Amino acid sequence: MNNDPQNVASPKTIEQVYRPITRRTFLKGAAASMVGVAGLMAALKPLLELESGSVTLDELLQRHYRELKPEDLQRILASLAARAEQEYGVRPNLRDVKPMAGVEFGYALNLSRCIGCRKCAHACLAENNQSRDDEDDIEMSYIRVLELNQGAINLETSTAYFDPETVPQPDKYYMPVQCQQCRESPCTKVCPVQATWQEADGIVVVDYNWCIGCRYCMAACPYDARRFNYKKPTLKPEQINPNQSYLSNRIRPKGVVEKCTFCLHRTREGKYPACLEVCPTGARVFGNLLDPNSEINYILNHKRVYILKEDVGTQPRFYYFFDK
Amino acid sequence: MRDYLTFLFRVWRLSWQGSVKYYAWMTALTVLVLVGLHAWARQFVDGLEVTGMTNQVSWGAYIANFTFLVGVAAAAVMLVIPAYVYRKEHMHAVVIFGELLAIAVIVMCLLFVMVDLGRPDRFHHMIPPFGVFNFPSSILSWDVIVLNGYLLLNLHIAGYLLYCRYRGRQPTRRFYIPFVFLSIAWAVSIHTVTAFLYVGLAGRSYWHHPLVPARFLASAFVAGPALMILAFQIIHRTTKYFIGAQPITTLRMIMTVAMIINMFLLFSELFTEFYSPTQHAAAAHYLYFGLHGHQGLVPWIWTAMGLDAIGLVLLITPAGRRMLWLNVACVTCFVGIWIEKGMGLIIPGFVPSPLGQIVEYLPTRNETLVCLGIWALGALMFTWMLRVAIPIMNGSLRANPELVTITKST
Amino acid sequence: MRVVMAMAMCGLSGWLWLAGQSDHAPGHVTDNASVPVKLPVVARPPAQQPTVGLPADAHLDKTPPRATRGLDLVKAGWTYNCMECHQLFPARWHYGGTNRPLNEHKDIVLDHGNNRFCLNCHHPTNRNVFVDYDGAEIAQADVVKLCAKCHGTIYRDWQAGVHGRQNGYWQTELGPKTKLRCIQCHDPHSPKFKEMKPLPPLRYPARAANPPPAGQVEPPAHP
Repeated sequence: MNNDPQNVASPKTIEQVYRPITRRTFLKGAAASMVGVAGLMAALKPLLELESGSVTLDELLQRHYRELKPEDLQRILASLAARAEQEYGVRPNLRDVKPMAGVEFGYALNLSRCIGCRKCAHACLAENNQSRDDEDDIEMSYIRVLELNQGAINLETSTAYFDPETVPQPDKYYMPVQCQQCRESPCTKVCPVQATWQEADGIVVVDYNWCIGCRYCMAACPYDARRFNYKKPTLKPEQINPNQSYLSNRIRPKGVVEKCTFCLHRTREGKYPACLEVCPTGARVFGNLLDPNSEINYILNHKRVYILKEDVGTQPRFYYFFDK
Repeated sequence: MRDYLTFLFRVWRLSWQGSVKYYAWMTALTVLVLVGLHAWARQFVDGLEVTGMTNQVSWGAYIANFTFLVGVAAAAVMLVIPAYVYRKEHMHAVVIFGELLAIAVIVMCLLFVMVDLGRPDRFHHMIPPFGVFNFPSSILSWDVIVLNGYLLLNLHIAGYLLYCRYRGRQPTRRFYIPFVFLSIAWAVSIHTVTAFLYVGLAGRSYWHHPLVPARFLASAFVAGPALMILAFQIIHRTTKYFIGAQPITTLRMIMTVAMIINMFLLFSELFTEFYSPTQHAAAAHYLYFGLHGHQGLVPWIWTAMGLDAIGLVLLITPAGRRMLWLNVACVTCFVGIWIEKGMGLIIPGFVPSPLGQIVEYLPTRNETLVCLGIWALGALMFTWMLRVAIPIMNGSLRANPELVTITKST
Repeated sequence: MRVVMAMAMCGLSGWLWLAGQSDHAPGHVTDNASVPVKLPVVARPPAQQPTVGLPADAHLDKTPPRATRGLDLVKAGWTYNCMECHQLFPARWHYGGTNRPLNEHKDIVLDHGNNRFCLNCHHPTNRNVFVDYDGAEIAQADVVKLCAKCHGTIYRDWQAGVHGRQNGYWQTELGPKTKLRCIQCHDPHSPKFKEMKPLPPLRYPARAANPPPAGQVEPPAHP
């Protein structure tokens, strides 16, 4: 602090500070406070429109998925199913599907066969209950189908918006990109609350009741694989797939991140993911990397396989290969 | 304890006393804050769809302002170093203002992060033992620690020194000197950690290079002192609190050096990006020249370049010694660096997307109102703190008003 | 009842024989197709596609690219016996031009690359089966072995499960895995997939700034 003789108290300044409270000042203060409070209430008025049940004490007190006891999880699943029925009109079969032992999932995509029809992107929407503004809105689909120019693997001159009369176009080739379930995933590293993590079978999952919506994982992902619910998901009852699981395709709340989970509610029960089931050319191959006789290992052993953005060091479990 | 409560009561009373100008200023700021609060309430109910952010550009004005303001907060250290390390007596007059500014600005930073969260109601998920804190893996967890720690440090130092002054007693060195020196390192750390948030992300080549933290610090040490130079002049004029020319000269010198370094680093960055036609430079290309027909940020960045250049020229020439031109330089540097760090750093990191998609971004009206509300709140807090601190420092507000002697303090 | 049926069959065969007698004697080549050959009208049951994948996936469209109704001989329950006509007409390598014109099966366009002859696949004397390199018969049920004659690498991949699509369960201990046979996706006479209209595209987000002008979604050429 200074001892600057120019900055000292004068009687006038002291008097200003210690002026007693008069009735006038009190009344002025009361009036100003009321105006202030009224202003505050007017400012906060939109909060009255908050849907009941969108923030509940139960949910605020819910612990991280990995710390939940089985009975807590069942209770949570029941309440989520009830709320989904109330909000969307369809009661889902909501369960928690655990990883299978001895399984590490791998996925391969045959670039010689993909014709860019986008059936996988649309099937993903149908399977995973993503928000959509109309039937054809695939913004939230976990799969982005890119049309690249022949002659190079150049993402920068690719487009995801292609809509020619027919596909495949003669001078292009097509590459769908979805979550690569990286072994060294940058997204799980940066999440400040560990709302996203890698499970034993390699799938990177998100606990939608734990995510705080900071979107750091979206900034970290090198593959644009994650989507954010900027609003409460809009879904019609006929668009809902009732076969849901806690960590994958249940209807998400607003303000949380979601991503491809290799349809773990299907694959952990031994089925193929939805995108593979609809591909008309059979460009997708899925299976257990730890099983030496699986189709995915056949690809890795016999085909020319490459990884998207290998230089970034993510070691994905999603491979691209060429047939010819 | 009773004395402290009395102190708080007197502070409360003092906050409501002021001239017409003071009331007009505070009322205007309060109105802005309420408007911003209203906009945020809208966002809380409807979700972040009321902003201009999308899946491709998932961070926007909130994080841009946050990044810029962390730099300004870090620059408070610029006053502490000359005062305590180099023992320049004249700086002691204004160190406290720097710390108070840092407090207001850090609160703004924390608010910008809170309004950006999709689920602010789940903030407690970060706090152990109930929550899960992904430390040390996530740099955001480091940022939470250093920002809150910096806030507490400054609250302690400023609060302690002001309270001692109010009580008319000598502050005990060991209660504040170690914290002051800690705050020097800590200030550098807040901005380094904030830079590391972006630098570590290998998937975004615009951010993934080592010059980013260096530029962060260099530009912070331009913007912070610029704001302080302007603030000191406003304090001097409105409160009659005397701030001599020396602190401003010191700040100007710091600003000049930092601006030279900032421009040099910018030049290095531009050369590296544009000399060879790589795809890594796509984001820089989008920012400076537009990409595939999308040119949304080009006018912004060239304005920022122009403002920075004007500021640099004014600072390094003798013109910078004259208050008028120095003020012009402060304004141009502050605005230029705000654009550079905001639109010029955050947004191009997302354009093009990692898959080559170009989706542009501009904040919506609602988003802008929330930002304005937070800036207004910061100004409100800083004004309020000055309203209380200056009488303490010039002795008007004292525990014992009868005692006229002013005790010596370091 | 059975006697009536037998008499009807005799009558039918006799009529066919008579009809065949009029202009075509075995071995006799004529270039005049003016006399139409009347073939019996037989009710053809529509070919049934096998169930693909799991019935619970009603929301997923798993139709293979060739949702056929006519030509899938294997699962059709086809009662039509090709030999009923083809025992009368001997096999030819070449049709059209100075050769005998093709009167039936004109709807089939053979666009199979270098595979230009019907008899590369179809058995010359037994039209109910396909033909192997040495003239041996390949049953209709084993049609994949026919394709494998030339497309060995693809056959090998198909056997491994990486050519063409499999549906159902990847873990076969838990449920069935269905694999599609060649001709369920590929029309054997024109196997290249027809181009299809892609499903609706991704759209530039409505909230984002500076949407591209209407109608332009492709990026212009790289600068």
